[in-house]
Amino acid sequence: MDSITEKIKRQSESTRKDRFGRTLSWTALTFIVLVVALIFAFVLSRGLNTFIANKVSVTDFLFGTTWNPSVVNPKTHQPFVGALPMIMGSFLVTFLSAIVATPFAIGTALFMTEIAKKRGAKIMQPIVELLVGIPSVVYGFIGLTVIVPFMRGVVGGSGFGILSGTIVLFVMILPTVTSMTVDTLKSVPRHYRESALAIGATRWQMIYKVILRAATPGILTAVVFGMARAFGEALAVQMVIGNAALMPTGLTTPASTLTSVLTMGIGNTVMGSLQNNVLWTLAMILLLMSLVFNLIIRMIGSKGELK
Amino acid sequence: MKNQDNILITRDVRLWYGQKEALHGIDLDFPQKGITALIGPSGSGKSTYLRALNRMHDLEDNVTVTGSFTFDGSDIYAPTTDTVELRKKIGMVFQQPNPFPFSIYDNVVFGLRLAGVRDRQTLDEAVEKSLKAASIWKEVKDSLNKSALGLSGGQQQRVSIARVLATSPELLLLDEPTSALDPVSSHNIEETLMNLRDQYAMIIVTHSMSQASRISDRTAFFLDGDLIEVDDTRKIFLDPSQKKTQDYISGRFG
Repeated sequence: MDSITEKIKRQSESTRKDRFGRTLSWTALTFIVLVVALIFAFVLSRGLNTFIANKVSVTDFLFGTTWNPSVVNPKTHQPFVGALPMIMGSFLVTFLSAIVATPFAIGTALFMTEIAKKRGAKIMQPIVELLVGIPSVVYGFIGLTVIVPFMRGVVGGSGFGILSGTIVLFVMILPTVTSMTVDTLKSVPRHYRESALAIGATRWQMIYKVILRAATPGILTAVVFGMARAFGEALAVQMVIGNAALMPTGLTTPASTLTSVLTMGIGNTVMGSLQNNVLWTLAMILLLMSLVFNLIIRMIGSKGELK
Repeated sequence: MKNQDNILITRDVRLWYGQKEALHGIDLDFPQKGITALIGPSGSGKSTYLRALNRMHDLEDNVTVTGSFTFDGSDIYAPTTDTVELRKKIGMVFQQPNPFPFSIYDNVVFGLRLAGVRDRQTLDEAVEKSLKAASIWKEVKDSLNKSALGLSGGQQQRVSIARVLATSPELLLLDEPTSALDPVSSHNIEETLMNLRDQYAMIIVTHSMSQASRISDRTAFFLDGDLIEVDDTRKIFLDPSQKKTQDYISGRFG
């Protein structure tokens, strides 16, 4: 009898521990989900105020080309809040930097995983990891003191602009894209390499016909990840892009991005005013875009899973 | 055994992983046609020996191979040997079924495309011929454009065999081709190999002694990096001349 009672007792204790652990992790999870939900709710409620409380039309906001929230447009009796220049600016620097970074990232990653494995692991890996960790303000500072004067010397003008922003972002996202590409290439099963070689492929044929083909979904994910980072980068871009809220007419004229306008303006507006609300709307666009990037990454991930 | 009948002659094959000698001087010949089985316990060096034959050890650092390998009259390890050409002539099938993540068609023509064959008709014919030779044509002929990863393990392995056959090798190396498969799939692979024994020289590494006795013409017994005995399969299994072989095939160790 005694041993049975004891057994039941012991079981109930482990059940209690189990329940305690489960409650703990559920609490943590609920907290995180709550925080994320609140951020979304807050940004959305603020961002939508522009359209609801201030009655700015969505098309005027998204496709208007003049940004000057403190001046009222005599025609519409609304301030000039056309965000298209910044939206264009953000997308341009994002795509351009991704386009430039991708080949470099693939090349570097191939060098590290296929061509010089030992040196790759010993020298390149720490360098890439170090580059990922450098704060963006440092990149921006270097951009400001090196790239901007360089651009000024080469193409004239002020040196600020989308091209300078692209170059800084390219350097910034390159390590991220590279290290993710390295991970992808490493996860290509060894037997793909062996059977490609065993069938008479040269090393280069093995790389571009088998490894890169098998790794394409992962490489795409890496690129989108880099784009998400570029899209959300504020400080470094702000330091080199010139911050003129004008429609970009060329790559070397001053422009602005969603993030740079946000960081410039957020301290100079009064909470609840239209000038403040439109900034929240910009933040909302940033948030929605990062959501889109996330969805793209997930879609690629589920479609092209490596086996 | 007459030397001129042999497609591959190896003498005093030694192999080191770093400082550790894994093969202690193997002398082994392979005839122009038929299946030779390499048997022996794990770690006996049979797979290591097999992978030396198409220079797969080149991929790893700190592996040293010595000895003479004469394939079709030429030295496999000569500095002038083009490993790409060599591996076209000596095809290899691995333990894990490993089709590439492409369509079945693209898998089979992979080697031909590497060799620069572009003519659609030639490729189509090669696909049909190779898949038929690997006894899988009937199962996949309507789904050639589907991913090879959607096939069962046994089917994938036969596609891997077809992929190797497409490049018309002269010698086929099979590294435990059925050990990752269920008995029915293994049986299908065995049938496939039996059908090919008149056309190709094949060397199969296997853990299954019953498989060796079923499909091979000759059997070589490896133990701790030494070749203990090689003879007709019948002889090895019914009346081996070495005590160690006798012990192994009767299950006394290994």
